[in-house]
This record gives sequence, C-alpha cells and structure tokens, in this order.
Amino acid sequence: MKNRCRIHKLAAIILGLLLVAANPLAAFSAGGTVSGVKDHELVLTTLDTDGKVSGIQVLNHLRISGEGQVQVKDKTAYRLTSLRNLYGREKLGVQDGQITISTQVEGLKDIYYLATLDQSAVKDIKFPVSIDIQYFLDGKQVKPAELLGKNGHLKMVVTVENTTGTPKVLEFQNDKGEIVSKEAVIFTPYVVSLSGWKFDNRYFDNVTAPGVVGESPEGVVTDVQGVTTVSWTIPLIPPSYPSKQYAVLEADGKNIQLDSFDIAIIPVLPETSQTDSLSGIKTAFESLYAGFDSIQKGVGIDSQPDTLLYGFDTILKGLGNDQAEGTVINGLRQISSGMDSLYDNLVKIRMGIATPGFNPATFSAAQGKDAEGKSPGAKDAIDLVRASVDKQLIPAVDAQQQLVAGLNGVIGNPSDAGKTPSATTSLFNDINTLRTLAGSGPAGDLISKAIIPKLNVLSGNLNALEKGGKITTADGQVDFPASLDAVKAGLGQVNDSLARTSAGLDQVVKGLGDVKADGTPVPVLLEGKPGTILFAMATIKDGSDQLYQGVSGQVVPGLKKMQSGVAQIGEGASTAKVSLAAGLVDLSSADAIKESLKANAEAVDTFLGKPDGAEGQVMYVFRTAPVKPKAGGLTNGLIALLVLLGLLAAVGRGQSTPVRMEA
Amino acid sequence: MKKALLWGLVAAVLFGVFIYFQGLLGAEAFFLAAIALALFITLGPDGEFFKMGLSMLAGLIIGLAGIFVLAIAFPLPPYNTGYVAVVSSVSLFLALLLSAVGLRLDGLLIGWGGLYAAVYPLYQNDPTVLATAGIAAAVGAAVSLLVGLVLGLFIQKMAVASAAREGGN
Repeated sequence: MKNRCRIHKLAAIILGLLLVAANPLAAFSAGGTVSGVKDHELVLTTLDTDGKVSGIQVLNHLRISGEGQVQVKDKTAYRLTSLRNLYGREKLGVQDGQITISTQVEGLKDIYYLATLDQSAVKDIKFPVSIDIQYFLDGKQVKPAELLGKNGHLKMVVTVENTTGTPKVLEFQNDKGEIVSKEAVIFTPYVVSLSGWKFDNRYFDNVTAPGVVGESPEGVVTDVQGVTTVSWTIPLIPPSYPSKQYAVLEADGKNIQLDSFDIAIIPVLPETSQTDSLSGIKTAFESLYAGFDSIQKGVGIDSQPDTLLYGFDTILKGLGNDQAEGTVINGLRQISSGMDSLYDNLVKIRMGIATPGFNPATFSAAQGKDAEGKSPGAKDAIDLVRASVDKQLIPAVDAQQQLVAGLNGVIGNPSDAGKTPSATTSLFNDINTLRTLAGSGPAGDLISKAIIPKLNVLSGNLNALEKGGKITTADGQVDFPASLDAVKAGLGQVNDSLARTSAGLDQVVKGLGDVKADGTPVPVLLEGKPGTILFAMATIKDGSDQLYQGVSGQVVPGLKKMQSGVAQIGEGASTAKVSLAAGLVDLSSADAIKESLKANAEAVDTFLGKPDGAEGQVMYVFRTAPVKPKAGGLTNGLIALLVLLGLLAAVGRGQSTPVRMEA
Repeated sequence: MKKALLWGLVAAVLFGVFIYFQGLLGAEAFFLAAIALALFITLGPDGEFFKMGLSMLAGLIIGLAGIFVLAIAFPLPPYNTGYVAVVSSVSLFLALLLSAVGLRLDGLLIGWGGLYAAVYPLYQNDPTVLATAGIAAAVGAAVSLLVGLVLGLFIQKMAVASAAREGGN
C-alpha cells in the first residue's frame, strides 16, 4: 500500500512535468500559406591556433511570412554533420540537399538553425575574400600558439583580398551621349570589419594600428578601463579601393595572451556621406585633355608646317653639317677655313713687308740676310735701296757730273783761241792754235775738217750728258734724256718715292701689326677693340673657329636634344591624352561600375543555399582561436575537491539524521 | 573568550586564503562557500558533513547534466523558460529520488543551486561557452561549496574543543 502510494505520487509529478512541457511541444496542423521568406546567413569560420580553418558553421535565420501550418524547403550546398534548431522545437530534416522545416506561422515566424559543415567539404571551400593572418614576435614570424606567455614586440598582419574579380564588358554613355563599351574587372564589393579586437593592458602596451596610404587602413585604437580595443574597416571595393589590403597591429607584449578575434566580411556597397567631387574632376580632366591636345598639336611632327618639330627640323637642315653644301655649318667651316687662310696670308704679307728684328746694318747683299739670318722684307729692301741711292748712287752721279764738267773744261769751247797751249788751256784753244800754226794746207784742213768737228761733237755730247739736250750720233742728232742732271733728279725722285713707300709700308706694318716669334700677332687694343689687322684677324679667326665649333658641336646637338625633348613632350602629351581619355571614360563609366558592383553585391545572397524565391543575405565571420593558457583551475579544483572530500571523509562522518523524502 | 576570538580569526584567515586563491582553483563563485558555511554550520559537531558533501556533489552533477541537456537538446535562451522549467523540475525530481536513497536533500539542493549560480549566467549569455567553461565552473562551484562545508566543520570542531576545555576547567 505504501509502495502504491509512492508510485501514484511519482506519476503525479511526472504528469505535472509533462503538462509544463506541453505547450512548446504542441502539434502542428498542415495547409498554411507562405507569402515570403527571408534567409539571412552568418557563416562562422573558426581558425585553429595555426591559423587554419578548423570548422565552418552557418547560423541561418529564416523569417517566414504567412499563415497556418507551412513547410519551407531550404537548400544546402554542402554536406552537413549537424543541424540544430536553436530557439524553436520545429523539426529540421535534411534530404537530397534540402533542409525541410515545418512550422506554424501566424504572420511572421523566425527560425534560427545552426548547420555545421562536414570537414570533407570545409577544405574545398573558397571564400570570396581570402584571409591570411601572420604573427610576428620581435620581427620573427611565429604561429599564434607560440606567442603564449612570451615577451616582445608583437606584430599582427591581417591580409585580406577580394578574389571575386571577373572581366566584364560595360556599356554606358559618355559625356557626348555616345554608347561606349569598356572591359573592366568587376568585383563583388565586400567590406571587411575587424571590430572590437581587445588587448588586455596587463599584457600589452603601446598598441598601435598604423596605416599606409593605398595599402592599409589605419585602425581606431581606444583604451578604456584597462582594455585597448582596436577596430578596422577595410573596404575591398575596386576600383575605389585596392582589392588586396592589410591591417597591421603592433604592440609591446608581456606574458602574451590573446583573445579570440572576429573578422566580419559583408557583401555591401556602402553609401557614404562623402561629397561628390567627380563632376569637378571630370571638368578638370576635360580641360587637361584640351591642354595636352594643344601641346601635342603645337609640337606636331617633322613634316607638319607650323609646328615645333617642323621648325626644329628646318633649322637643323639649315644648319646641316660639314659636308652638306649650302648649309650654315658648311659655310661656317668654309669661313673658318678662309679666315685661317686669310690670316696666314696676311701674316705672310706682314712678314713680306717688314721682317721683325731685321738689322739693315748687318745686311749682307751677297747672302741676302742680316747677321741673324733674317731676310729683309719689302720695306726693309726699300730702306736698303734708299740707303743705297742716298749713299752710293747720288754721290756717284755727282762724281760723274764733276767728271763730265772736268772733261768739258778740258775740251773747252770752239771759240777758245789765242792762249798759249799749256796743261791748263782747252783742247779747242790748243787746236785752234795748232790750226793757226798749220795754216792752209793738208794739216790745216785735217784740223779744220776732221779734228775740230769731232771735238765739237764730243763737247756737245758731254754737255748733253751733263745737262741734257741733243747728242750727235752717226744717224744725226737725237734727244738725250739721260743726262746726269736728269739722272740725279730722277734718283732724288726715286729716293723720295722710296721714302714715301717706306713710310706707307710703315703704316701698312702698323696697320697689320707686329707678330711674335711664334707667328701670333702682338695683342693691341684700342678702346677695347683690336688695334691691328692681324690681331683683329686672329680674333675673327678664333671667333669664326669658335662659332663653327659652337654651332656644329653645341648648337646642333643642343637643337637635336631640344628636338628630342620637344618630341618627348609631344609623346608625353599624347600619352597623357590617352590616359586622360581613359580617365574620362573611367569617369563616365563610374556609374556603370557602381551599378555592376551593386548588382554583384545583391547577387551574393546565400552561402549554404536558400529557399526558392527567398530574399537572401549573407555575412561571413572568421574567428581566430584564443591564445590563452589552459584552465589550470580545473585540475587544481579537482585536486582540491578530492582533498576536501578526503578531509570530510576523515573527520566529517557524523551521526545526525538525514533529511530525506518520506515515502 | 580569547580562544574563541583566536579560532574565529583562524577561520576567517582560512576563508580569506581560499578567496585569495579562488582563481587558482577556478572557484569564481567563491561566495558559495559562505552560503555553504551558513547553511551547514548548523549540522553540529557530529553532523554528517561527509554525506552532506557527497549530496552537494550529487546535486551539482544533476544541475550540470540539466544545464548541458538544456544547451544541447532544447531551444536556447532567451525564449526557452518552459524548457528550463521542465529540466529544473526533472532535476528536483531526481534530487528527491536521490534523497530517498539516502543522500541529504538539503545538500542535493544546495549543490544544484550552487551549480546554477555558477553556470546559468554563462548559459544565458552564450551557451557555446559551456562547452569549454561549464565543467570548470562546476568544479569551482563544488570546491566553493566543500570549502564552506569544511570551514563549518572546522569551526564546529574548534568550538566544541574550546567548550570542552572551558567546561573541564
């Protein structure tokens, strides 16, 4: 009886418990309608202490709109090892890649289930965004598990890369309203959020999250109540942002322990509050394009008139080279050569006019040189001639005049007579005396007819020799211009002429200038300008040489370099134009790219699969394994537990009556 | 009186030492020791402290099993109060059954309650944490409870010994 009573009490308790549980286990009825399903997935990927994927779970939230008892078939693209309804009692069945959910809906019904992917499927899964986490301690790469308890400078580098890029041909209108096609690599936009990474200040100091422009965003670091929290937001949205970026964390660690970190990856094209500067940039690009176009047209090509390159080509052709007849350089070379020749000849002329240092006093007519072996120049020779005329010829003529005068005195006049012949009487006196003495007869006739006429001729010719006039020859009387007076006067005129010539040559020599022993002119400056012809010629010659060398050796190469530089400017302008044109196309394509990105983001709506017609949304979370010491408290606690039990067993066995349930 | 003060001081120091090393023992719910001390010091110097300890451990195991069943087999919080009620009811029922076979019901219940005090917040916040922290929290709770029990026994024994000496005098 007592036992029966106990059984009844027990049955009553069990019945009561079943009643408590009855409501959640209520049976469903079939035949409802579904008006819409939303399928939100959170793909949780856990990483082990080596940073490798250790497992993937999908937390799926189905929001079913409808009425009555319904059945929803969700899809699973992967083999599952477990499937659990987290917050409800609806049965979930898996068959043929479909998850069947039967539930009672009254307006809205939320189903949360957790699906764990089979390990065989995990290794083959490729995520749209690859994650690579590297740990460095004092510059040396280590596995995360190796950081535990260590001291040193910790550096974590999280590299994320959007791997969804695929080529696509975009069609859009450019600024002229034309339909333009452009091939571009279009990605699915993902934003990676490394949010709330906590670092205990007991283990870390100097926590920083530096960034690099165009490569790595800077993290936001906050230090609140002993915990430093770091967060990054990395938009992997080409072309606005690089498809591959990295986040860096650096800290000084002591007895390092790391919490588990979450990396969330969300397919989204976020709208920002950034002001639109594209239109201004586009206008600036168009102005730049017009500017580069003008530059390119101005630079032009060799064969196009009115361009820089054409001008350079014309100038260079005009300048030509040594061999090209009718060119500037050839002309300059000829001028230079002519100037050299002219200068050399002028030097020769100068040296021919007057030999520098020539000493007429030591001149030897036999050798034709002075004591130093210098031959006389023209002026020197004239001076020598002048000296010869002055000192030799004129005295000689004077002597001749004296001689002739003496002879005339000896001959006397035909009228001389009556003086007794002596050594001082004239021949005519003596002949006339002799004729008188001979009387008429043959002797008188000989004297009168032969000797006296001859003496008359001799006397007349001597007079003519001395003073000019007519002389008697066999042919009769003829003019005799070479009288000694005439000769002397001529010599005087010659001497005067030679003196003037010498003076003129002196002026020529002065004008030409002196020449040094090495043949170079003595520099003479008058009011800062060359004072002699030779010095001026030497200067001109040097100038023409330098002009020739400068034009051929510097101006032409310089012009060629300028031509090359201008050509490069033209090419640069052309390249810039191409780039700007591409940039303008890019700017025009911005909207098309944005639409493609948006469409791609919207197309990523499931990882595991979704019911037909469902509106999907998916987010990925990678979770790192914590780097912490194993809970030593468990072992210690078990030991303490045994000790305490032993203590109680030893001294705590008492006699008191236990409180127990009475049957 | 002086000896009473001395013994009290010794007990207080031991309690302080336990609390100081609670982290080492994983006994984060160290306050359970005070509860256990308060409840079981009334057992008297000849009380069944050992059985009480075993009962607490049994109650704690029942609670732990229940919380794992809740985490694994039933819908998770926050909208699962019905299932928590069912599991708690079953736990109480098991405690009653175990008391019927000789264990102390007060020990079973304080063990169950101690376990829930230590673990239930984990279950409410993040059930997945139970997989790694559930056992450790349960052991910590058990240690706390047994420390309180042992302290109670210790105080009882000291009080009795002290009274015996004073009576003898």
